[in-house]
Amino acid sequence: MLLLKNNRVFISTLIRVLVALFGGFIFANLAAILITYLSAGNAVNVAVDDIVTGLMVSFLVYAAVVIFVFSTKSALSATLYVTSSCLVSFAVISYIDRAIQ
Amino acid sequence: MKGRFRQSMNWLHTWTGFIFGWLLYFIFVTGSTGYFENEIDRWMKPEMTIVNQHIDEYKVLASAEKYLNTLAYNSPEWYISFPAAREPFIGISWLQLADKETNTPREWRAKNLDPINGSSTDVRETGGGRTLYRMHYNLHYVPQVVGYILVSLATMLMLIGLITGVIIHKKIFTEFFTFRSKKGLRAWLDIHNIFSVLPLPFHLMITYSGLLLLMGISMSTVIDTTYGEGKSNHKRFYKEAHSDIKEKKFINLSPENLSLKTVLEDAHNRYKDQRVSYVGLKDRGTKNEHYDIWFDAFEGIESASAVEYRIKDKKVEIEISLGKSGNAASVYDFFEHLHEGLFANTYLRWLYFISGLLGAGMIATGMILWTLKRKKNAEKQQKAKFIALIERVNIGIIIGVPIAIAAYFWSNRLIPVSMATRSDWEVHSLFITLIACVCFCLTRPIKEVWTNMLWLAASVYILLPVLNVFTTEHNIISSVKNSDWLMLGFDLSMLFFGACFAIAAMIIKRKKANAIPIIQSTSLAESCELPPSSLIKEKVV
Amino acid sequence: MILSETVLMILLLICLLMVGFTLLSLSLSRHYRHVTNKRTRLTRKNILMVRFIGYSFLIAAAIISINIWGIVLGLVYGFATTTLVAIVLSAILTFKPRLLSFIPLPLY
Repeated sequence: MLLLKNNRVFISTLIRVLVALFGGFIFANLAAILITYLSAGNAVNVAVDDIVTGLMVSFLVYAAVVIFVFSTKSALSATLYVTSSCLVSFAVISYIDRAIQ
Repeated sequence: MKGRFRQSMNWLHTWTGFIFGWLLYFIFVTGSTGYFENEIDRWMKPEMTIVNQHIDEYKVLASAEKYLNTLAYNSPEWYISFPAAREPFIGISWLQLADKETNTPREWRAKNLDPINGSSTDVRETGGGRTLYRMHYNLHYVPQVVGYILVSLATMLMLIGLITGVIIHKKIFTEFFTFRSKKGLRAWLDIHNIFSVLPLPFHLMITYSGLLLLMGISMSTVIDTTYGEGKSNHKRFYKEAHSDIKEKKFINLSPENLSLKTVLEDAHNRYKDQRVSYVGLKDRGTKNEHYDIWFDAFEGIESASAVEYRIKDKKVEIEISLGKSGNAASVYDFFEHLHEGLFANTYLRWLYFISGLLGAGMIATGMILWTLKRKKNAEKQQKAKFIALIERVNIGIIIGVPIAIAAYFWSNRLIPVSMATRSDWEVHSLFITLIACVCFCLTRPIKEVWTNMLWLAASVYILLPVLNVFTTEHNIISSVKNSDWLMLGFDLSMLFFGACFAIAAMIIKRKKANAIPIIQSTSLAESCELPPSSLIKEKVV
Repeated sequence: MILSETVLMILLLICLLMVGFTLLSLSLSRHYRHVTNKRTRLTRKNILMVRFIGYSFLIAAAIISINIWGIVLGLVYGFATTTLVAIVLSAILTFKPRLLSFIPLPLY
């Protein structure tokens, strides 16, 4: 019983680490793209400067995601929050890209 | 649930600090040396003649041009550097193009010119201070991209370490100045707090700006999706992102007269108070051929003043850089300048350097705390052995990196000047020494590791100026006489660092003589059977 | 010895920050006890006054620094000198707190 419990903590921590590391990176990239579109005001004429803005803010987003993942009640909720954020951002970006086509 | 949140942040702080602790320590120490890159360069190239008298810039320009015409006749970029505050040399440099027939690679070449007779001096080939500090983001022995990504990842973890550190430090204001030096583990925690909190603005700035400087590579997928994929697209992106607002105007100079000499004359007339540091001739031989002038010792954080001279519509036009054209680019520029600290005068430069070393100290004390906390809880034999191993590697890295850097300087004097790959071997000796230090620590009983390493560090640093005396014609007295402040500053600083290591070694010896058991003293073999943990009674927050 | 203007400005900044941080540290019971060798801490009223004066010195240092060197460089000088002053003050408070016993506290 103790073995299983120890394993559970280990697995839970491992999940959080993976979600924070990879999920955070993916979300930081997606957020950077969204911020680029946001600061440009539109998705057609994106100035290079807006991309720079997106890039610079992405690191803060990454840090925030990592801290968030380690402050949720369970590893499961962390995974759900991050995955859904990634999916939503990806959907929004795809929609915008398709709309400007 | 404040308690649970704090606990999680504590866990996060410990492990983000631990994973890349040694790499980050190396980055901080080598990066800090970068603030004295010019001084290190001067010491590592002792043959260079310094200029401390007034020179006729046009005469220098003429002899420089003569050399460039012979040595670099088919080079597309020429530079002539005049004496500046921290680089009191006359130098020429040019881009040598690749030539398959003579098997010459594409690389930058430079020569130092003597101020009195204008001839070139033979300077030993060395990586110099530049290679040393560039290691903090390029690393070494790995492809540049790998280095960038590793350093970016480490920096990201560093940022998270800093943020979580602030979150978990409940008493950040009340314990601002606190250092309980006699209380064992608590003392280490206090010193870790002092090294972290007092230079906190610096740490946050240097970490975030470090991330920004590498953002083109770490977040390259963003550029791929929003701008375009591939190397040429990325290059175009950088060029556009860093484009300047330029003021252009035509000047009263006929295109036939446009040469290095007239460009220098015009720059002097236009900016009478500023000292010219570089004159450059770029895209030589093409129709885009233009001249660049840079000025020395700009006090502000804003972009360096640079003026370009080119021929346009059969007239001479000048372009003055007024700053970056994009708002975000200006912010990036601002962070870049803060990180590099090129604007800093002597006072700020030393504070940059000290803050960098405090950051390295923060990481070092963090690593030591990690091992100390686990040492008292290690019950199983396997774990205790592992902790003892980490403890020794810690000391090997913490004192070993400074020793390795000193070895880099030693090798500069000891490797024969005629050896072809000497600059590579200087760097090899740095890493060989580092590995040797770690291996040495693994063989020592824990009681003696600290003092052994500290005395070793003290001797290699204090003997550096002595080595200087025996291997070159420079010594402290002659540096004062010749006003060779860079050389003098380096020699004196080495003595100072050596003295610091010696004092630290003596303090530890005195502490041990007073028999206050600050750290559990066990050798590697004894660590299997641990004495009662009652030796360390403090409860750590 | 003629000191250049920059050196004098830097010394001024160091002095202002030193006074400010010293006062702030004395408002904390631990440091107050070490410096004055009294077992009690300052009365609540005194603490507020000491902290007010201390913070005023810090703000004055910031304003003067920004006035001399401009906002960006002023803040750089301010933070860098804070690090220097705080390190020195920590060392004094840890190893030789009696050096500061000349400060007349409590003020009432």
